[in-house]
Amino acid sequence: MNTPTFDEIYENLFPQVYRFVRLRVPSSDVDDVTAEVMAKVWRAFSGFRGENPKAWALRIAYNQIADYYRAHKRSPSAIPLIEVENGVDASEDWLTFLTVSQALDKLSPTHLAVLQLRLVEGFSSAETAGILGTTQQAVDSLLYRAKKRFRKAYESATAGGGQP
Amino acid sequence: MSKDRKELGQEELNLLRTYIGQEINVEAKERIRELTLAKLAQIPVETGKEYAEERFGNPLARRAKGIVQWSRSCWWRWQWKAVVPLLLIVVLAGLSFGVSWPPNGRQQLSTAQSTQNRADIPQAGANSKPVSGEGIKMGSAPQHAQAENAPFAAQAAGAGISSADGVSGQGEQSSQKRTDVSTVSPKVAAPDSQEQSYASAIDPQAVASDTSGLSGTAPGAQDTANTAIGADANKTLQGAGQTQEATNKAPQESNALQSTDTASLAQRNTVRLWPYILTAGALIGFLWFRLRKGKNK
Repeated sequence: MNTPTFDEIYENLFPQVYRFVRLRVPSSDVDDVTAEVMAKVWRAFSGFRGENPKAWALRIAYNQIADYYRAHKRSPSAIPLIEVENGVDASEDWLTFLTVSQALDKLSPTHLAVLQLRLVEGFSSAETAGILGTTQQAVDSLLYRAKKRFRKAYESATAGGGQP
Repeated sequence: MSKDRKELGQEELNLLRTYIGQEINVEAKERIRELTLAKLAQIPVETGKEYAEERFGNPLARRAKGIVQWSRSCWWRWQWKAVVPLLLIVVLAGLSFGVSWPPNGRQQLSTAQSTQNRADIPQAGANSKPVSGEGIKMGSAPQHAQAENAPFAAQAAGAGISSADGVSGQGEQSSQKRTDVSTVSPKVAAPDSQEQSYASAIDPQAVASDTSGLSGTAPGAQDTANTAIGADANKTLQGAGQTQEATNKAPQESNALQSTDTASLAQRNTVRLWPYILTAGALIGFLWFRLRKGKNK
């Protein structure tokens, strides 16, 4: 089995890592934190013996984000992605995205992580539990509550016209 | 999974996926790749000078970058919060338990030892009880001389002198016994009668017994001196004077030493608790702080 090159690892893992980081770290620090995560992934990849490198890389990203907030003495929160969106037609989708952003902003970081990992990235409950450092049952329970809260928050934001 | 989507609603789920799973900007991807490679390069300031200059511009920025990289890889950066408090606790505990530095403390220690040795004297005194008994006998010799008849004044004077000498003789005898005792406690050894007097004075119990004998000696010697004629009488007076002097000195030293002994014994019997409490408190505080920090992680 050939050892993968840096470019192969980067192309394979970067999208998930970047999406995970940019939803949790202020945009000014996204590049630095993501690069730090990718450097750690590359350094540790030779010792990786698991089956899912994406889940493993997101676990590293999760720890790196925790270190980031610890170093900056702030508490983590959801970061609105409106500012980094480039390909969306602002006239039609701006309000919709703003509504989603407002709804996600009302979720806790754990609920947001569970929604992202389970529904967007497609990880299983076990893989999500491995990334977040919790149990599979806890992930299922968190997912149920996260969906409930998101739906409620989204409906509330839609009823309010999507205005902040 | 389909159940999850139905619960949330397909439209909401699509929005979520569109919002969170946005396509990644290619520019951002390349920018972060460069940054990652720069982090992986781990450029030391000395060896990677050209590369650092190319990457990070002017020498000041390069040096700053090098220092940051060094400090990030430095073990100290991660461990000082654990090591420094532990070292402080060890030093404080050492100080509170009486370890002193610099070596000047050794002198204090030897002084303390000498005090300790001095405090041991009562034990030696206890061992030398028979010697103090000899002291009584020594004092009784002139009294015996006083008991002689007046017509035999000269003889009594002779006896007085001889009793004064007898004091010495007894002293020698006592010192002989004292030397025997000194095998138990060498610090109490007395080579002659004069030193025997001081040795008896140092020994509080012995002095307590000697005092009566010695004070008995003084009048006896004095009376003998009154009836004595010539240099022998002077001798007797001198002997009596010395004996009286020893008698006066003995209770004072005895009292002082007894109070010192009581204090040292009390000090010896009292366990100093505060160093233990201080050290245990510091360790508990340190562990609590570290565990609380770990829990927050």
